Amino acid sequence: MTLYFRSHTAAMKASALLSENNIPNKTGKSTVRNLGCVYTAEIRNDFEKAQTLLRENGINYISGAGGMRYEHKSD
Amino acid sequence: MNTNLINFDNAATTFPKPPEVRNSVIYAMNNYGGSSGRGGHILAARTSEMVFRTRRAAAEFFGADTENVIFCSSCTHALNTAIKGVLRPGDHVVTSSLEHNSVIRPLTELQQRGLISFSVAKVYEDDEKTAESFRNSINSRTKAVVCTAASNVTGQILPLKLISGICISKNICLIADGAQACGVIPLNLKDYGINILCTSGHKGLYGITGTGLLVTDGKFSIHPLMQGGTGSGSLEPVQPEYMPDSLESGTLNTCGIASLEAGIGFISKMTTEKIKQYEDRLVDIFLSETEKYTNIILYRPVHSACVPIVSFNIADIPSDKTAEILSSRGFCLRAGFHCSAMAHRTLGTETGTVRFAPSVFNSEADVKKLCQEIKKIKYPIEKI
Repeated sequence: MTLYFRSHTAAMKASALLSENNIPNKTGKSTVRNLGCVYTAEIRNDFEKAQTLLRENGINYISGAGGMRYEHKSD
Repeated sequence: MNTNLINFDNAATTFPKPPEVRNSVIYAMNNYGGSSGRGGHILAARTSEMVFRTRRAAAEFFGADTENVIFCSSCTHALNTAIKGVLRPGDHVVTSSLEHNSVIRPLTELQQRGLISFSVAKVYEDDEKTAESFRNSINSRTKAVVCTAASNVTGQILPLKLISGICISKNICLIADGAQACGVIPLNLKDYGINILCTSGHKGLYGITGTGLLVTDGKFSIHPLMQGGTGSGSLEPVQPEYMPDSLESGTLNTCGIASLEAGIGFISKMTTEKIKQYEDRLVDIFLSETEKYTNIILYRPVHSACVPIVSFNIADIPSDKTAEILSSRGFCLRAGFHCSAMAHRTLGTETGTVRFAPSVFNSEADVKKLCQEIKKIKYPIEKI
């Protein structure tokens, strides 16, 4: 499962937060149709927990980046 | 490296650098060969991780959110970004009588283009009087106060907490120039009520030249000085609005940022309090020695707190001549106006001053040697 972020800093911040909460992850960069470059944090499990953590800590992520929507969450 | 030279021009650029800073630059040259945020391959990812670590370290150091730390090429770059990014046509600004040209010139340029107006608040040795001077300069159109945290000529520390109190009560943006204060004063956005802190990386933070930082609390939006590639939102023709991408166009200075990580680590380990304590001791030695010389004129406020900087002249010898004599004897001190014409006008120093600015790498013996050389300079001026 992949979490998508608009900025590299947000992805790195998320990655650090996930690691601190024992959610192993790997950051990267990918290209999404209609959206262009996005930054990613790939996780194997705890997807719901990860999203909750991000929301609670005010880290913005993109929902539905694998599709074609550009929905900016948790603002 | 010429080991015979003793550098007392650390207010311009600290030298030497800590060993960890030198090593970090070499390591960056060998390992951080990618463009941060520009790719997913190993080199880019490794570089991006280092940039993020540095951003986070700077954020912790200055009490800000990680994304609100912007890497700049200098304090001047950071100040231009802040000043031109916050101000809008018709705005009024208050600045101090001790400012560097990195503040005065952008303000003057905006004023000459008819976009803004600004007033200069006089700085006194009495902090309350200085704060009152700022308060009296504010009008209904005042959008920002742009103010140095410490003078690069006299070393005087300005009462930022008092000034920020005024700014907060009137919803005015406080932009602080921390070039001479960062690394010796524990400047922190929250503690000092600063909205935007600008600083160089190559002075008190012990990074290399070509580095600077803008750190903001995010309360006032900053329109970008430049637009361009950020690695993000690539399909959009407009600049991203989110930080830090909004204010960071173009490939980042990887080696410089690596040096900043090491520099901030060095200061954090040593602590700003201990650094200032040590450098203050060097200043005390300098003052107690030179005060004995009848022909020396010291430009240092007696009743204000100061960062470790002392300006001086010897009788009416032009400052550049004094610095030239000292340079010929292996001592590096900067003479002239230090890019702060207004401060020199306030002091009445028509040919500028010589500036003594130690770092943690100077020793007490270095200072005593310098004083001995100053003592030997005779008036009328000797032939060199």
